[in-house]
Amino acid sequence: MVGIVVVSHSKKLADGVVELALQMGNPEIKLSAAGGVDDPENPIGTDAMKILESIKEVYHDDGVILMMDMGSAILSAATAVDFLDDSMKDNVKLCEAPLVEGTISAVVQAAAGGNIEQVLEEARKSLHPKSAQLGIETPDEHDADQEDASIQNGEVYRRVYTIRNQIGIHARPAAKIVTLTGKFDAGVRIRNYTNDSAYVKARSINNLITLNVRKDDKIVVETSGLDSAAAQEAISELIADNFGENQHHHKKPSEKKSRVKKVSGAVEGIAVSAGIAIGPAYRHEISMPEVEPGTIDDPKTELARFERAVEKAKRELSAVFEESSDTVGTYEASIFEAHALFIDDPEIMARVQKNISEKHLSAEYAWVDSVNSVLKKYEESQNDAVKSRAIDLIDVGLRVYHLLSGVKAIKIRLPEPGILISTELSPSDTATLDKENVLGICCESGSDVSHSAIIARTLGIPAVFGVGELINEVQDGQVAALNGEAGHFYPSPDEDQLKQLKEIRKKWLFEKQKAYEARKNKAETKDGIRISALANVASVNDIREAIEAGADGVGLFRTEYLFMDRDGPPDEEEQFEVYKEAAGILDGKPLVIRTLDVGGDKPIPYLGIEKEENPFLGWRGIRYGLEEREIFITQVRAILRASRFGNVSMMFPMVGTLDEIREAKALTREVMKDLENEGIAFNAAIKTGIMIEVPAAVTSADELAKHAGFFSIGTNDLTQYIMAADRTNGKVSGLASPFQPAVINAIKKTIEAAQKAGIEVAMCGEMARNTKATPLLLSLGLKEFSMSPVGIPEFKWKLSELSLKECQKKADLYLKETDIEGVKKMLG
Amino acid sequence: MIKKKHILDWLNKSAEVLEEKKSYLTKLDTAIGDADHGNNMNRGFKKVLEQLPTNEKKDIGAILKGVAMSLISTVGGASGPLYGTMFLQAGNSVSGKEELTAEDLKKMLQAGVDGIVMRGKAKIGDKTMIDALEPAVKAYSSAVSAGDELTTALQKAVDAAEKGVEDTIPLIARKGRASYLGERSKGHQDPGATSSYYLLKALRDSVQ
Repeated sequence: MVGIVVVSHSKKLADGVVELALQMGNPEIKLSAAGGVDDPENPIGTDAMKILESIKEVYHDDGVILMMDMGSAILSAATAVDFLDDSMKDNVKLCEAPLVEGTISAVVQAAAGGNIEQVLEEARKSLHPKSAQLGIETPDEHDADQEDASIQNGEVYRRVYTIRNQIGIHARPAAKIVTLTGKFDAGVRIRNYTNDSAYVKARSINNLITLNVRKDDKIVVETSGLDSAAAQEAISELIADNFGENQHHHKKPSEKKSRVKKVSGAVEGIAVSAGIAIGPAYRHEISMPEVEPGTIDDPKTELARFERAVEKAKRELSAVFEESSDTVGTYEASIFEAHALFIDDPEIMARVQKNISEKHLSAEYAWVDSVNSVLKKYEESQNDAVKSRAIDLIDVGLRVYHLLSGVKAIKIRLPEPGILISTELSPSDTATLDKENVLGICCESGSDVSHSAIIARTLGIPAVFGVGELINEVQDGQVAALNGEAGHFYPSPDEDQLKQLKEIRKKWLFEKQKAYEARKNKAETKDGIRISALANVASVNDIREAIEAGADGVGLFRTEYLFMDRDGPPDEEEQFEVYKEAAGILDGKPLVIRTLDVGGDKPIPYLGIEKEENPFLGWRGIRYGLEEREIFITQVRAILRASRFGNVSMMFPMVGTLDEIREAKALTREVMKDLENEGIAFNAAIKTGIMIEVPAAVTSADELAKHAGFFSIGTNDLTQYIMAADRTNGKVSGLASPFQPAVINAIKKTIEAAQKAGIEVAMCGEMARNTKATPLLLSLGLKEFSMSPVGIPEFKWKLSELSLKECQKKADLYLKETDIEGVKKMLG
Repeated sequence: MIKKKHILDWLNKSAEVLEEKKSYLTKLDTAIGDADHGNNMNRGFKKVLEQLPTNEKKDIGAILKGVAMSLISTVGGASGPLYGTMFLQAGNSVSGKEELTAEDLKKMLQAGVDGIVMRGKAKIGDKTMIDALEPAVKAYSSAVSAGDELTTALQKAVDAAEKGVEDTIPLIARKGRASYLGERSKGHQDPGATSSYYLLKALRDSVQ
């Protein structure tokens, strides 16, 4: 029979509870009181030794449960258990149920011969009858009307909150609640007061979502246990903060419209990729696959297989989270954290376990079935926001499914040429787009600096992101339109609008065509000045595209991709082969290879760069290379060896001091000596240059120019560093513009330093591609522009309409502008 | 080197200081707790001294375990099982030893703090004993690793604990009775952190 010990600060109380429990008519029950301290002057307190004695007194291998009042009673009870022999420890459980009710329920169940789990379960349920009788589960109307009315019930706190964030408790807020709750020992339950739901445990993201909490709904948060007050307080702060949504998007359409100039019939979004698209809209909907309920013989192995897939999915998600925190911001990226919680959801997990262990179903089926069961709840939800969040669950459901089954993600296809409508696209979605049929892309969320945006621009597909939930109004097949340059999306354009858009599209296509035709022309101004239109590439394939797009060479070969998605760095031979092939394809045209540029923001685990507080101000670029010499030297050797197969130069990233370039060059000389000694051929006259992307490099440009073979201005990082503004942070991204006079002055100074020292200077940031900036850059004396290949035709074409002389005439005017608006106005 | 007599002296000095600071600790506990910390600690250490003669011929580990038992049985409040577990784990870590090197003491202090954390599950910043003890043990460990004398290292530990105690003032309590006060626990020094500081100070005084 299960034994029971009653622990209380008060001896009288403990004895009284025992007396009361024995009234239930079970004199044979093993019940012992451990109350108070043996000190006549201070009898109130708890004594672990006394509790230990009581445990020993009632001990049986069936188990013992300890009922406690609170505070030190819990600690003393736990201490007492520590003094037991290991063989006994496991049979003794602490029960969180209320002392009086719990003890009585436990006694009844123990006397009935229940095992320890059943006794615990009964004790835990002991408050139900009392709650039901008093209607305590629902706080009274009065409390609901007062937003902050808290009732204290022993250690239980209940408080009513009104939810004010835009779409209620959807995935991200729910995830935040789950994560926060996990930090406390307290039990947390939440119910939707507005629709009179039952309480659900706050540790389950699915439970929370199915509460259907919408904006302005009232919820009741109940916390109980040791740190219940603190837990309540923390949740209160989270709700007051609108789950961190305040500073982020989910703007009402009206707010957005005031931000951008108003266009009737159009939804304002973020201009991501220029161009006009008109055509039937198709929503990209993902759904769980149909899986046959296969059976298995060995549930243990199957469970292990499932757990491995889950672990892998979590690792992937945490990598995606970290990567996207940097590119799209932590709030946006937190959806991936929410995804990880979906996987851990007790409800789903329990069903998977049962499916595999009891029903002997395959892991694939067990998982899909469990996900579907929760999806069904979502679909039944009254709340549109909840319904629309089903996509997150499907997303994570597919991730695990693909890992289990080995089936790769499916390519996005449209039934006919049209506009792709989606909530948001993952980089892999965008990268595997069916280019033939996708005329344009419109997304509910996303940002213009996300990977998806960059890919859309690279593919030259017009795109508008961040149009909000209005895309739900679009029916499949309905004709829609978007203007990627203005950031406008037309869910159902009228005839006039269509006419207008078609005209713009015609002009756009004409220009694109014109540019395409001009791509093989020389890059030259109207007055015959030869300019280099170079390409930024990351692979040999990119180089082929670049040549097709009319590139005069490669101004930046990013080598990071060679190092990504693998378990160790590529060896010298592998790198050599790649660089040699690149040089060969370029056939004498310039190839500038940049040495590895990584930092704490890029997840390449084997490089041993830890997650840093400030990866952009951390151990990255040449700073890494000069310390991790083996990787650096291997790469330099490979580049040098490839140098004799074409017009190859080498470039060091993130240089900020003279010492860095001296050291990098000294190491290069050592490598050259080694190669000579080994009798390996290379181009001893290879040029070694540096990126100018750190403000320190601009300030010391004159000195650096004496040591560098050339400069290449990386305007993206340079702008962020000069302006101390993160371009992925919406609040300050306006500051992070290369058109800021401070940035323009830095560019000017860099070019002048290069000219004075007689070395070449190029630009390889996004600014180089921006044809609005071309007159300004020409006027400053820039002759080499390196950009993503898709920008080259337009660049060449626009360039051919500019006269260097005209630009130079305006140079002073540009530089006189003291604010960004002035600069932009000058450049049109 | 810490000899047994130092340990006995430490326990005596601890009892002394807790007697002396009884009202002060209770005053601190009145603000954010249940006004018994001073009395509880005083009573607990009185009992420790009372029972000390039965153990004082044994090794240091056994002495400390005896302290644990006394505290667990007599303190009554949460500090009983917490300090009890601290002395118990500390005792286990130096089991059988008649004297302690600086390195032994490091292990002992760490084991003690780990015991409290295991029992109370508090973290730094929760406004508990841990806010004094954890920085103190860290300071001691790094001082010893850096080659400091034992007394110097202990002084650094005491300094760190003192700062830790001060740092509890603006904190919101996350554990125990004080956590019920939420925001209102701000602005008060934590009594548990304070008594931890006294224990460390007594240790330093005994070893000097």
